[in-house]
Amino acid sequence: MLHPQQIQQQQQQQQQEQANSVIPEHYDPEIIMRNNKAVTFCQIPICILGGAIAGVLGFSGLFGFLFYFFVYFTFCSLFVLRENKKLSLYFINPRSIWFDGLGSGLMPYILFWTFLYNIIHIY
Amino acid sequence: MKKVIAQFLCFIGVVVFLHTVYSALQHRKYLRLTDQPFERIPNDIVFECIVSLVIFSWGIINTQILTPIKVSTHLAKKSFDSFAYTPNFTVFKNRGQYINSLLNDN
Repeated sequence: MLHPQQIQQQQQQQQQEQANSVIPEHYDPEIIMRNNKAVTFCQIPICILGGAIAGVLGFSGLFGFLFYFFVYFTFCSLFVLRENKKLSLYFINPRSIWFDGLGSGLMPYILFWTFLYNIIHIY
Repeated sequence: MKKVIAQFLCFIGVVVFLHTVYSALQHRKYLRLTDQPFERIPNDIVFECIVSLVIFSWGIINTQILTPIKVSTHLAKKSFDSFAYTPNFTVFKNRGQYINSLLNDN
């Protein structure tokens, strides 16, 4: 337990620190949402096309999943290439686009992979 | 890059990919008719696939426009009047009606 006077001193110190510090930058949550939505909008069709290509090339087993990582990182590197290292303007954590959508893109990838594999290599 | 060009690139990517699907099907059919065993897809089809993926992804990336997330970048352009807009305090019964009647008389 702290003495009431000590608590008061601590509060005063905090207030002084707040007064001295620079006003922090504020982020607009709506625009953060919009940017994330734009990234997912790009991601899902690319994963679909990548899955279709994996089906055409006839990958099966673990090699198809490795091709998924190749597709995903191709997309990410193109995205970073377009933004020309200014990603911190558009995202709070710019590195998160390298691994955020890995799970959400996998399901359409597998769907189209099996679909095209069945069309070309089985029937 | 303009949005129309980016959408056109997406379209080209899909068309190139459909061509690869057709050529892969034809290759399988050729192997079946000549009784050869299937080993793997020929290299030109693989190359065409990768090209179509890159074209499509470059196109679809360019259809999206990102906006800077810092509040100061887009709020700095707005005027104070747009924030302090108080419609409850506007008065509609003012001297404007008399001016209007005067104008109509003349």
